[in-house]
Amino acid sequence: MIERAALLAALSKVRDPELDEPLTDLGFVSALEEDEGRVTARLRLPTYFCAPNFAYLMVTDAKKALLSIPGVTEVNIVLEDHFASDEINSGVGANESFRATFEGLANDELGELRALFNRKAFLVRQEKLCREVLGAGGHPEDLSSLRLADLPSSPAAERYLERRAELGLHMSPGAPVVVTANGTRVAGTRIEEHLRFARTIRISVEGNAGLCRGLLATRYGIPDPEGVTI
Amino acid sequence: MHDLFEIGYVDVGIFQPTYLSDFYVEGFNTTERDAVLKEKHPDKFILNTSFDPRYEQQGLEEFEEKVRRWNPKGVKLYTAEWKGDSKGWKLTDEWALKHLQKCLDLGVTNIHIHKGPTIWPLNKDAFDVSDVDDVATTFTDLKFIVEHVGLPRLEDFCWIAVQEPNVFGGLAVAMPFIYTRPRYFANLIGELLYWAGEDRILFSSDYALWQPKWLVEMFVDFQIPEDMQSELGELTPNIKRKILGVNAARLYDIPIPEGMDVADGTTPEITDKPPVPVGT
Repeated sequence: MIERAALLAALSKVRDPELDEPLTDLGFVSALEEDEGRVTARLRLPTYFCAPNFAYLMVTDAKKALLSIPGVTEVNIVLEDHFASDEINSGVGANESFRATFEGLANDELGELRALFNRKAFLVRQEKLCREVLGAGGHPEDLSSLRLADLPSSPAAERYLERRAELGLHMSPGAPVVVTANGTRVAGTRIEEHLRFARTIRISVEGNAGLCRGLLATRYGIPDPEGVTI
Repeated sequence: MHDLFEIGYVDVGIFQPTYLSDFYVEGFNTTERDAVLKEKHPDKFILNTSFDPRYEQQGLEEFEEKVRRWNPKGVKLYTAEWKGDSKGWKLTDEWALKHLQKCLDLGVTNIHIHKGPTIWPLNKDAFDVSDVDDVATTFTDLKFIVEHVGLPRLEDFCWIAVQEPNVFGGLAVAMPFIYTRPRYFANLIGELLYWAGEDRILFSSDYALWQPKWLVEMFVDFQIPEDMQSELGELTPNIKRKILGVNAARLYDIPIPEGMDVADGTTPEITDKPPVPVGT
């Protein structure tokens, strides 16, 4: 018997690639069962037509996360109510690549797509951190001398550092905080513009997250955390 | 006519033909069908047309024929339209470029683009809009109006709009957020004003999915919530005039009623490109 909390903790590490939030927070995990090391998790998405590439990533990531728990011997992920459910469930079940899962419909794996949204997610987390550090009165240019060692111990800083490490950027204490998604330091005079664009990504992602939650709530008759009806 | 002109505050309506012939036997709303109403009320409507580059040479000739017959100033393109085995096309396809060149030659200068999800290849972002960037650079004398302001990838649209002065944002489908998610709508408008500027945003009702009456009323009464104004500023009556009509009137040479015109030129000048091309 494996603790349910351990299964949920593993799934909470799996994120929607674009929304950058855990599947467990988004309400995407609809059922979770375990029997002598064999785990079945059921996933659901806001619409029947959610992007199949993102769906495939979440299903494979969920499988990998659950398999990493000691004692878990077998994992079956079931994506429900999606136009590509059959392809994804059987493809991931058989450990097939994305290209093989969608034969003829894809010309590459999903590495570049994942990297693109990882970069966006990093910039959003950086913008949130910078807003926190600047507080009410600060000027963005003041951030040019900020080093990793100067960061406060806050959830925003932790989330920033987590993504930064995942992208493989420099993690030494003297490394500058405000960098582009490929790790280049942003000059002081350009920080304002840099953060302004990151803000646009944040608005976009937050808007989409709100929509996804609303659509999921309407689709499955569950409460919408924002209390708004679509 | 009642919904638009009697109660909906509309002076002139712009038809955006959408064929979707694989889904609708007679087409969704074709140029031919829209033209029937236009002929009954010539002063009330502007008729655009459409093309599908996958008909290649024959399509190009038919498109030219349509332009000669109806003299449209714009086209509505739907790149995600299915056709037989094809699940969509790109503006940079060989025959799409030939059609855009034809638009330029014939004076069809307003290119409205509805970017639906990219169906192939599945490994790409489903809402990839990079082809808009390419053709806007190639055809600087054409205006590209990206419908739905690129949603759900607002940032990609803003990134293109700030670099390409001939790219506009159409608010179709985005408008109703004014009711369901007013704070999101405020953010959306704030971002568009910052990157594209008040001269490059166009109201759209997407009638008959939504009625212009309540959209116009709510937009006229709308203001950025007070706690967001320090970041986003205010929506002035002049900005609202531009979005609701003046910007479209300029694109389509529609006479602007006395006292309604607004001076041009508050588009922000961004001399320094933002340093974060995330997609590259």
